[in-house]
Amino acid sequence: MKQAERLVVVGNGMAALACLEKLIEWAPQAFAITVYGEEPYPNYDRVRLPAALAEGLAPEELILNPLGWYRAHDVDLRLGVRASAIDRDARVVEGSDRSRTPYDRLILATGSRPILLPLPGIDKDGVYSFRTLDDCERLRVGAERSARAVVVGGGLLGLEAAAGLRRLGLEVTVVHLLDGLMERQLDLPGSRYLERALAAQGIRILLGRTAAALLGNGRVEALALADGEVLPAELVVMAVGIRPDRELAQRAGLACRRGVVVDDRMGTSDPRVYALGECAEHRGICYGMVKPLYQQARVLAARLAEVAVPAYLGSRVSSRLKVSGIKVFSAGQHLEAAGDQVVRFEDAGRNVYKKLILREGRLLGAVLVGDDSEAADLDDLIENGQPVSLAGPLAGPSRAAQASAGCSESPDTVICGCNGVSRRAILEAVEAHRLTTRADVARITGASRACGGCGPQVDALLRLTVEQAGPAGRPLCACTHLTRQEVLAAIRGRRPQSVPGVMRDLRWSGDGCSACRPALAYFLTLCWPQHPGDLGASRHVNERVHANIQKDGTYSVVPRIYGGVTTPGALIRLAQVAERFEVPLLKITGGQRLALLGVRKRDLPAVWAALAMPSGFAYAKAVRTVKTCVGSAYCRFGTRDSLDLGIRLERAFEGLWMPAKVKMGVAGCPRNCAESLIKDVGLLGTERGWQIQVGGNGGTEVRQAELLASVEGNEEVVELVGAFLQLYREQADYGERTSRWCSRLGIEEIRRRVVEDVSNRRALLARLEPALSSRVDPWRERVQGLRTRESGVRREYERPPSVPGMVDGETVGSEAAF
Amino acid sequence: MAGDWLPAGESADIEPRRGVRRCVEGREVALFRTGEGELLVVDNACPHRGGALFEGLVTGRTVVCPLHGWGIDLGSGRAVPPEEGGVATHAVREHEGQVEVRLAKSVKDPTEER
Repeated sequence: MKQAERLVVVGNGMAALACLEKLIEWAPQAFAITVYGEEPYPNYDRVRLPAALAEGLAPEELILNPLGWYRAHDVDLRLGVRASAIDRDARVVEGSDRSRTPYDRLILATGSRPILLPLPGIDKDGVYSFRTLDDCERLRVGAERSARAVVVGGGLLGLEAAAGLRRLGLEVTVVHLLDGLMERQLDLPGSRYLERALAAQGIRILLGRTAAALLGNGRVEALALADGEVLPAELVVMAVGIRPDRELAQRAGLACRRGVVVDDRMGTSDPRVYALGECAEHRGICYGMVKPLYQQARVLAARLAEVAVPAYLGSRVSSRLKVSGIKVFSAGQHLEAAGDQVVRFEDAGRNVYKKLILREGRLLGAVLVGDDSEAADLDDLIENGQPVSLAGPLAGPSRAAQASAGCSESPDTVICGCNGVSRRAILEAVEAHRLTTRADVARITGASRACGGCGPQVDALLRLTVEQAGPAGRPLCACTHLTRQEVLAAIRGRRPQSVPGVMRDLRWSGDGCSACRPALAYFLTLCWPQHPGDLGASRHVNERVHANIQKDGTYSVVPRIYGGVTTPGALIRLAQVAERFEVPLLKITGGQRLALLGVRKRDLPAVWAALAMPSGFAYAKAVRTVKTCVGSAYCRFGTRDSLDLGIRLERAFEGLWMPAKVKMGVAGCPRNCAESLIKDVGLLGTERGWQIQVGGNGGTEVRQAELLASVEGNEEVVELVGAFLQLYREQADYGERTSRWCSRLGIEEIRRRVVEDVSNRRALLARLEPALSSRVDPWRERVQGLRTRESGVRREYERPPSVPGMVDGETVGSEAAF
Repeated sequence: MAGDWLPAGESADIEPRRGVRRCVEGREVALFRTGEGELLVVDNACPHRGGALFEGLVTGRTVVCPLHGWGIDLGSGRAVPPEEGGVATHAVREHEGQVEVRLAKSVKDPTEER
């Protein structure tokens, strides 16, 4: 195995960690990684610092990669250690703790530093920058003993800090050098609307004013403006901008301009050294937003992992002001050039301002203040460069509204702009990891992890996946681009078909696979129960032969013994058959019935005929056994007649094809001797009636069943169980047990559809009815087929024909199998 | 020296996407017809645990062993990666509704060094 290369990362922020996460995903073990982090925290969400200030979040709540993450991935994290120098000849990074770490590759992700104006008094107590978690903490402490604050700088960060301080109850004034706020994102009219919105929150805005000096005796007491006005304040935040931190790179002799100069694959002037994030300058631009830095991280990770991804060609940036109650969005160009078409919408009453800039029929920029509901649409239009009509962009329904309504979007639509996470990626992760919460989605995909702006859309997608069975947007398997729901709808919408016919109609690629072919066979039985057709070639041998193949090629025969209750006659027949066919093993199964093991395939029809008992479906994805306790028939504790109900349930639902095997249990009292709480459907008798428990599992993933409903009579039990089974049949993925499916859908949702929504229950039962009424016992069917010399049955079960010159299998080879 | 063409039953007995088992000169082989009608023959024993391949699901030119789901490429006899090993393949032809097989030499595993 290749020796792991030594990778040193200077910087422990969002860019560095985004890159490392991808790198570890793509090339695990390829690098021995050391990270220098000057701040005393593991990677945290710098984007949400203003929110943290305003809402008083604890530092831990911003942590993106807890220390355990570093440990789990063998990343050597040097917390609180500043990289003080790089010796490029020796290929060593020197730390402020005098450590020397050799590298084969070096990533610089030093970020940026706040610009501190060289004002007299800038070093006074009570003057803060707002860049780090420590800054945030200091600011919060400072705010507690302050009544008045001045924020110097009316850009995104300054305004977010101002809003945070205002929410903490301070009197806040923003001093801005220019005539309009957020001049890199807004035009002047847009700024006016934003000023009004801020004023409404009690924030005072001074435009076109210059800070001149900080006054006070040790502690700041006021900010003096160049025009002589003095603004009393116990707290001053300097938020006039950031500057890429290129110092370390510069001292090491790497090419720098405003930032560390990088090429399209994040390489610096030294082939072993890379840079990304705010410290990097790409094609003359230093980015200060999280989205481009994540894009860069991906490109660099791919380069290091030797994974092919397109080069980094720069980012188109959009921004949102993250101030509670004020919507500001800006994307693309915010100032029009001569000849551009401009669409403006103003509603002074609602304080809404919108401006779109179009050139040659394409959207070039958008500014939204007060209402950003079209932001995602507009962002996409700018990104894609699709032609747009003037009426369109502001007139159509917003996609955010569509998403929350569960409408279909393109799977490639980017939901999380910060992390570049598509709808498809979120849905796939939700499915693959069975995610149920926004925090889970953030952890796995990164979506909503940075600014949180897409949180509602992530929630909507979570709801959507719960609504639909299986993954919306995810193909059934690699043989098709259609989802499970789409395939089902197509099968339902056409005439009854064969599996190859479905694959042909739906433009399957190739001949299907061992995942989709049995699923399609099941879907056909689900949609067209009265037209079974010949599904044999797409079923597992067990479901084709109606017996369970054993390791030596023989089969097991498990007849149905309803509720585990048998008779002397049945037992005598079983014993006689076992003797007559020299069945090597006769065993009582875990499901309260008797299994004949080691039966030769060609003996199966004769064994079935001699038994004259229905198939127990012990080989199938179907209702298998209903385990019962003795119940009130004989048990001195029994409160309910579990035998009667168990037999009734087994008769009601035997022979029904299911997405996976279904086991039931009926216990006559809460002592639960039938182990009902680990059954797919479990009944517990109580003084008042029955508890219907569903989604239990006693197999590899043990899960306790959950209460679906408590009912009084057997009729209600059968009805609710039927509706539950039909919902499961229709909604679960093929092969998905009720335990997983219940976890995924949630018992409340299942209860709503099966128990509470009576009309839905009736609809489920109506759809179940044709499947129930078209059941036939497969054993009897085959015995009769053989009697009538039906060719398919003969071919399946009879010994291979004697061919001249061909030696019959009986005489040689694996005799038992013939 | 190539062996003789030996009878192995009727063409009509081998339906598309299905397999049958035949014993030819004491050797148990599995005959498959793909969805496109091609006939392919391999030894009827999965290299994993000897499972009866003829009972497996046929997808394209691959059969999936019914015991543990190993895929076997019927053209080459090799197990589909990541599984390793393989089974011998045999020549087959159809003539006037009859199937004939020419057995490979006693090579169990085409991937083994010989």
